[in-house]
Amino acid sequence: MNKIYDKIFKYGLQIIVIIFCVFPFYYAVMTSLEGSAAVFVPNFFPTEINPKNYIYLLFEHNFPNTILNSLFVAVVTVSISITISYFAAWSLSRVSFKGRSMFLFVILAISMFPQIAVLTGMYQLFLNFKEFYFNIFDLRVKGITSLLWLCFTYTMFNIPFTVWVLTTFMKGVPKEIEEAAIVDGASSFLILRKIFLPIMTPAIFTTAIMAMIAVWNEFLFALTFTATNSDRTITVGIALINGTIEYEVPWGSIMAASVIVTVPLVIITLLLQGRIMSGLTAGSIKG
Amino acid sequence: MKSVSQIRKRTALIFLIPVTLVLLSSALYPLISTLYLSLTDAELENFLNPNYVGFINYIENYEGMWYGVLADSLFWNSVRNTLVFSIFSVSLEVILGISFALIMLIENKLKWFVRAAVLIPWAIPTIVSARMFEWMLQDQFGIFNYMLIGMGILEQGKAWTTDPQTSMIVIIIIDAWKTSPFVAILVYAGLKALPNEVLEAGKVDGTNGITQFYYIIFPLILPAIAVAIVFRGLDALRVFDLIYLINAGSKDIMSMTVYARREMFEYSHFGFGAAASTMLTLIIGVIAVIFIQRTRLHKLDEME
Repeated sequence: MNKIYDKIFKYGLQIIVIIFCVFPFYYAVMTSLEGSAAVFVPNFFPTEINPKNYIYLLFEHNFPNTILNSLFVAVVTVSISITISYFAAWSLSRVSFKGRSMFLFVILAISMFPQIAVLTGMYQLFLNFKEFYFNIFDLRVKGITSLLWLCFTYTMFNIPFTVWVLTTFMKGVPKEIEEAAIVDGASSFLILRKIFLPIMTPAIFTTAIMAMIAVWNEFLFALTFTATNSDRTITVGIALINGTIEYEVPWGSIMAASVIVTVPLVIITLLLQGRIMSGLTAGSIKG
Repeated sequence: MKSVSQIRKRTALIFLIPVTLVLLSSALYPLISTLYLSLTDAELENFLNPNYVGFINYIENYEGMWYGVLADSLFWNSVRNTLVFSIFSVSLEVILGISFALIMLIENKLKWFVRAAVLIPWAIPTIVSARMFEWMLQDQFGIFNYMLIGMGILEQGKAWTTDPQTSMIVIIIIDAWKTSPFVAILVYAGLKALPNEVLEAGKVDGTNGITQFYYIIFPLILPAIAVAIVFRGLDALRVFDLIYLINAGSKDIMSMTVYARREMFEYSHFGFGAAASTMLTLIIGVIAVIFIQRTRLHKLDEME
């Protein structure tokens, strides 16, 4: 008898955790699928399936544009930071030199830095950048100034994280693999390309996904450095979906927007579950 | 001819140049210019060439009255709010995180689902979690009030997010929902790294299991918990988006970052805002140093 109770107890605990973690998201999905009348009747299961909220988002509020902006910033930022970090991670994990721990410690310290500490300086730099940029380029490309600037600031805030995680992953690669190549006289660049790249591909991919999620979710800089409808990223876009009148908050559309930006993340996370877990752990302690 | 290791060392240093340049240009430079701006009268009009004014943004006595960040009760209020938020949310996250980690260890058919579910809140953007909870807690149509009324606990829906008495609690709960998975994953990794016999000992059911956990497993996963506290603590101290999104206008729950940003971008007091953010950096820096000293995180690299 005791064994059965124990089993039920364990299942019960697991179900509580699952409901706790998933329910808010489930509820958002449900709300987003309901028409305007049904949204305002609280219930646990959808009473109707109505794509109205999604259609509204596609044609109004510039929503598709904000998704493209976020994708652009995420892809540019992550490609640059991963490339730079990959080489740095090799230096920090495979070669011993004076000041290596110090360097790693500084990287860790910067990754915990409050963004607001640099915001005023960043903003001044941004105004200078804009002036400089406007002098060179014509009106047509001015629209992406803010997005380029976001790429720059995000790269900075991503690099400490990507360096740290990749360094941890690279430390796990056995020495022997590299030694044979060193004996053969291969250059470090060649070793990194031919030997490490195939082994590190899954780790690089995981790190890239995590960095991408961080960029996708960023709010403070996005709010500060984007000013017009055309250059907003998704976080600011959602924050600004509001009804015309105070008490007419379009909850259905807000939930639909939330679902659209979240579903890809949830799918990726579920597919890469194990990898992301080890990536998160590597980001903070030895994996 | 140079030895292989010398060549490698040189290459390693060359590979570190881009990272160093990025960090110098994008972290150190804005940090120093923020520090400098905090000593100027920078406003919107003269933002690109402000005048040096000394420490008056921090504190100034003018005709017997005190001015400046340090004399602003709203600033100290935001410091207090930030500390309250950090202490309560991190404590809650550690408790939930450890519980989740232990539940993640249960081996049965639901194992995969538990591990998958735990990652979902982590992947969801803060803005989305804020909006989801706001909607669930909405006073007229929210499911939470609906349930409470159904159970007879409330007679009328309550505006949980806008009521100053409950909005801080709501914010702490949303933060805990979003980030206890992170703590859980760290603790889970710590638990997985333990030898099997230790875990088996902890699996003994009943009250005995709890004492065993407390005396045997807990001390062993303490390093993982410490790391989680450091990371979450430093993250909580710079909280911005949740508080800004849930109740931007309220002075009652304003955090330090919200205060500093408001001075800069709503009132265009860039000098004053820079002073506030410098104070914030100092406060977080002091707390970080104490934390890191205590947990010996700076020895991480040697702990191989």
